[in-house]
Order: sequence, then C-alpha cells, then structure tokens
Amino acid sequence: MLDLLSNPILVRILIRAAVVGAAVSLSSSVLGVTMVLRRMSMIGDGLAHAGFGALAMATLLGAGDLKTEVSIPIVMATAMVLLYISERGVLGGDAAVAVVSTGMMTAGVLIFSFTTGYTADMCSSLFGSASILTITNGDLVLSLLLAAAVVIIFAVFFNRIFAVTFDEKFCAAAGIRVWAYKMLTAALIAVTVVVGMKLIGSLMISALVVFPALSSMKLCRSFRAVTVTAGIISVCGFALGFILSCAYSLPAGASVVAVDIVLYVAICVVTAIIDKRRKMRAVDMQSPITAKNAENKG
Amino acid sequence: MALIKCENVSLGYEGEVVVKNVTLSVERGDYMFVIGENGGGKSTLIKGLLGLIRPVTGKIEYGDGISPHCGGIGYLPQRTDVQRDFPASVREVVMSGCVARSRGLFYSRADRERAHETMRRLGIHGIERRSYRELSGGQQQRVLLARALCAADKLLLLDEPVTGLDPFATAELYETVGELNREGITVIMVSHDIGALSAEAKTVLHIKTEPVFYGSRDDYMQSDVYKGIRGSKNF
Repeated sequence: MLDLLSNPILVRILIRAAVVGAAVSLSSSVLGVTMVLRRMSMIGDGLAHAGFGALAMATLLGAGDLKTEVSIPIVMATAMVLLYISERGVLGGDAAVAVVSTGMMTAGVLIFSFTTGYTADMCSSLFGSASILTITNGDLVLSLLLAAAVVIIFAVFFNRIFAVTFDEKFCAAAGIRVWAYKMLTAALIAVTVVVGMKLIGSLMISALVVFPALSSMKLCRSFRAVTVTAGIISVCGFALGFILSCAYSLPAGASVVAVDIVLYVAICVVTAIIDKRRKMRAVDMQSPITAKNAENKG
Repeated sequence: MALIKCENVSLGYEGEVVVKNVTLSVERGDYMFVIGENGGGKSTLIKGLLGLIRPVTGKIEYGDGISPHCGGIGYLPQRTDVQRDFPASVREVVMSGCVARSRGLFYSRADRERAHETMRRLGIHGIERRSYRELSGGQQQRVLLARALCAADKLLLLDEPVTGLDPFATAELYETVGELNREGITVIMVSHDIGALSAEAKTVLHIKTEPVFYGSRDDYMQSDVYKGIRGSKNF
C-alpha cells in the first residue's frame, strides 16, 4: 500500500474515490434516518435495483461517460412511480417495490446481454467496482453537489422533516405538503443510489442507507442527534472500509458495507449489555438485602 | 359564533359518499363526543373537519379565527407504529406542533416559550429531555396532546386518544382533557367506544353513515340509540 502512495497519479485517484465515497456515505445515512423511521427503507433498496436497470438503459442510449448523469432522471422517475403506486394503493407498499425493482433488474440484464461486451460493466454496477479507476471527475462533482444539497436541505428544513417523519397525518392536517417532502426524499435517495452505485454496487448501496441509521438509533435519543450521528458513523465506517479495501485489495463496496455491519452488531451488543446492567442495578436498588447492606455500611 | 358549522354536509371519496346529512355546530367551550362503529364514517368526518377533503355537498364553515390548515385545529391523530419506537426527545415532538402555526422554517423564541408553557401545563416539563420511545403509553399521549396544543389553542380534535392505554392512564387522559375544556378549550373527541363517553362531554354526535343522534349528552343517555347499544352489549 505504501508504494502506492508514492505514485502521485494513484494518490489522486485514491483521493477522488475517497471523496466520492464519503459524500455518498454522508448523504445516504442522513436520508437513511428518515427512510428507516418511515418504513421506506425498502424503497431505497428498490431504487438501487432500479439504478442497475437505469445504467443499462443509459448504456443502450449511448450515454458513454455520461451514464451516471443519464441514469439519474430514470431512477428519479422510477422513484416517483414507486411512491405513486404505493400511495395510491394500486399495489400494497412492498409489493410495488418488488415489482418495480425486479422489473428494472430484468430490463438491465436483458439490455446488457443484447449490447455485448459489457459484462465487466454489469458486474461492477451490481457489486461495485473492483477497481476505483472507474471513478471519474464527473462522479466527484456530482457526489459533492449531492452531499451539499442533502446537508443544506436538512439544515434548513430540519424541523419540518422531523415533523413529517414523526407524524404525516398531523402534518397534513397542519397544511404541510407531506407529499412534497416524500418526493424530495425519494429524489435525493435516487441520486444517492446512482452516484454511489459505481463504488459500492447497486446490490449493496442500500446497506449504506440502513446500517448507519440503525446504529445511531441505538445510540441516540433525539432525532437531531440520531441524524448527525448517523452521518458521522457512516463517514467513519466508509473511511475504515476504504482503507481496508486498499490495504487488502478488496472491492471497496463490500468492505465498507462489512465495516458498517460489524459496527452495527458491535453497537447492538454493547447497548444490550449496558441496558442489562442498568436494569440489574435498578433491581439491586429495590431489593431489601442490598438496602440492608447499604445501611450496615452507613 | 360557532367555531365549526356544518350544514347538510356529505363527505366521501371520488364521488362515493361515505357520510351524509351532517349538520352540526361546535360552539366555543363545547366538548363534543363523536361516536360510531368502525367503518361508520368517523375518519371521513375527521378529514372533512380538518379540511383534508372537500365536502361533496353542503358547506363547512369555520369561525372565530379557526381555519383548517393554518394551525386552527389541534389534531391528535391515532397512534401509529412508526411512532412507538421513534428516537425523538419529548421537546422535539412538542415543538413540532409549532410547524403548524409558524410559517418560518425555524422555531422562534415565541415558539419555544409556547412549547415550554404547554409542557408545564400538562405536567411533562420534567421529562422534556427524555426520549419519546422510553415513555409509557399515557405519557406519550400527553406529549402528543402538548404538540396539538402548540399547534392550536382554541380547538382540539382527538381521534381515539385512549386506544391501547391502561385504565389508569385512560382516566388520567380524560381528566386532563376535561380540565383543558374547563379552561376554555373546545374539544372534539372521536371514538368507537361507548365506554369512552366521558362525563365531561357536553354534546354527542352518533354517526352511522349519517347522524343517528345529535344533541346533549344527557339527552343521549336517555335516547333509544344509547339504550340500544347498551342493551346489545356487542358494540
């Protein structure tokens, strides 16, 4: 790894990939909190699969280097369709996701097989690039724009996002356009999924939405703290996973997700132990024997 | 002047009428109990009163500065699964009631004071920093009641507020709502449970696709509708 760092071109590629990954991790986790809490995380997963199909369509359209840019509107449109059919009750919530995501996957596979010679492309959009060389400057710009948009939107609309996440009915009655906030979340997650797909892979990108959010929900008690902590956990998890992937030449996506999973399990175990101790202490305080002991000591 | 006045209102979705011929008038200081079986059109009526759906026929008028959508009605919806384990502080939840009234994106000093005052009023200022998910069902409802009060201080609309509460917490919540009503807040409480007809209620609207009774609580207790339910026991 050290001799890698002596090559300035490689260093630039490494930094570029790291920045893209960190930006995607930050956006996915911040959006992930409201997605998980509103039981929308499967939509994130569905969109990730749709991303694969979209990428194939972009390739078919001859988008060349602009594949990511062309995929984004396709996935966004899919997001709107998904929201519409699950909202309208045409199909029950997760059936809609299953239908759309498998449909887009199938389209993707078919398109890739017709346009031969894209097997490497297909593999990398499913499982993430084995090599970070494929990350372009365009990806860098997109990911930075995305992260900036997510951070600014959350900072400005934080109170409303909380209100809508916590209780849609109440907000609708208060005249807040709940629909708009849902669309906004779905649109942002669509961009996140497409931008992150190259590095992480469309089959694993939704892990970045779910795990940091779940981890921080175990740790924090307020919505604000949960959102901020999810971002921090996600970026740290990415950094660690990325370093590991470089050191042991693993695919970046899998190692980042692995770190996120390990972090989540560790946090679950630690919080469970702390909870148990706290409960035992509470029981101890109540039991007459300890009370007596305390008296004797006193 | 009446806070809400319905004249021959029919409500429904896409042309299909679910509730019809509703005529009622909610006066200031009133405590109206809306009862009906599930599927009898209670939720539709609520949506209508909140201005979420437009009447198919008839007209709903609002008075005394009340208007739906602009924080005129303090709404306490039925509890949802999403909320049960939601990581939010009590303060965050109560404050979120203010989004209904303030047009700005951030909470103002007045909003904060209002939230603080409301929490004090409902006796939850001591648990301000605790997490909503750690609270008992009764405390959670109290927090949501505080949120509704932050949104509007004249009129409360409570939808099945005691579902899932133990008898003790139920009695406490009724007590609190009764107290708020005595302090001058108008209350509309919706329930499918005749046992929930609190002694504090002043008027009763019994609805079964159309009003089968509308009048004072005392008259309702004497009515055939009430006796019919009490007799059949399977309500």
